[in-house]
Amino acid sequence: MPIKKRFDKSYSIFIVLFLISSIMLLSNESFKATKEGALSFFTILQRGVDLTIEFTSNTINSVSELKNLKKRYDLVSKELEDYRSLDREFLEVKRENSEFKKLLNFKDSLNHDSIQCEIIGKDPSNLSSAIVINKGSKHGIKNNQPVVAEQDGLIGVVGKVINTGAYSSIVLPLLDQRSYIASRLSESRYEGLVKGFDSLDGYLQLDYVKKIALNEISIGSLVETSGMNSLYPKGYFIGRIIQIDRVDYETSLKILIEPIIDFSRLEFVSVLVPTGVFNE
Amino acid sequence: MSNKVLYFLASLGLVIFSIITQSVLFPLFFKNDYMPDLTLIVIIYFSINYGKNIGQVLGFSSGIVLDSLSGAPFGLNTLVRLIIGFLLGFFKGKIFLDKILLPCIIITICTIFKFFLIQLVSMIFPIDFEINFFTIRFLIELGMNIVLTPIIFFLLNIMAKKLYVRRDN
Repeated sequence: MPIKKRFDKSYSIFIVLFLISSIMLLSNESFKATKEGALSFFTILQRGVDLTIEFTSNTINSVSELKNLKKRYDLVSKELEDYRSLDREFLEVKRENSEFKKLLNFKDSLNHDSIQCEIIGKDPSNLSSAIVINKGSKHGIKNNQPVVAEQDGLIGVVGKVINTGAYSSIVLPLLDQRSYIASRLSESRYEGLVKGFDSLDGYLQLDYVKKIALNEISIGSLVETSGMNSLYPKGYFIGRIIQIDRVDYETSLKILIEPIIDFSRLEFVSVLVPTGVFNE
Repeated sequence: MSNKVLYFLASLGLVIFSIITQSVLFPLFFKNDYMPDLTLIVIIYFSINYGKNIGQVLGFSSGIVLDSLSGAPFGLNTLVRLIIGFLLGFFKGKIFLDKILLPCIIITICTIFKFFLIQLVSMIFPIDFEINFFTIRFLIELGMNIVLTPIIFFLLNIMAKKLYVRRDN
């Protein structure tokens, strides 16, 4: 008899939890606040681990950096008399100067207000390529705000914010198959629609470009946001064409794009804040 | 505190730890977001060893954490992991886990079953989520899971024994 009681209890728990999960799935919007709350809470843990890793790697780097510094110090001391150190310092300052200039240019070149964020985690479920950033609604971030980043001198689209917690947000990258961006070829100005397809190589697909454009586009051509009926403002780079297919039975070309942003080395992003220039 | 509550809290702590590790630590080592599913491995271990109740509650709670940190629809991971935790709980005391072979077989079946369940749930419920499982990405996840499962089971066995001895003392 007690065995039967235990048996029933586990079934009832399962039914209750199953119903709760089903309701969560059926009314995703109603549970938005719950998700945001949970995101805020668990991001504290996530941030804690991230900071610990950062601290550990900084400490390890500091030790090796100290060793390197010692070596450099010895070297520079020896070469001091020949005034070589001056030259070295000059080069270092020059490099730093150029880095700062690059950073300043990036901030100036954004046509919209932006919030600088750091990537602190990735989707742990393996079901999407979403990334977690360290700023949330408390910093002015809202759902559907576009996210961009600077790499190799170009400002490229990263994705859009899909969920915000108080101090963190989830960004859906443009590689995700739920991502669609109204786009335009930078040189020939033909319009199209870029969509992600969770490609293994991290590529995107550009659809609805008319066949007539074939003579005017080539491998390496840049694709940018068109700003047409889209939450992405005009003029941000999406990627470069790497493959053009002309299928006889289709009215448009099939184009494969390599994103401007290399997601594997992305650390910082900027969330664009609407200033009336583009619609959310 | 009863043994069940203690085991549940310990396992929940482990699952949350594995989710955070998966989210923050693994991206540093694994390229292109190819990651093993640590949480699934931990759920399997606790469901088989401690039964349906711990299995399903653990699956449910870890699913909520995963859903809140991921771009997937809220409830998807919760439902899938709840079902996996519950079903695996039936095997408590019915199978003898060896060190390598059986854990590898179980994780293979469970990973494929997880993909199948996600596909099924996406079809049944009106959610905006499509995923193609017939890609190398999921084969890599399966491979990583198979490699890691015996190791994690071994570590969890050691931890469980220590916890058990401490409780006895």
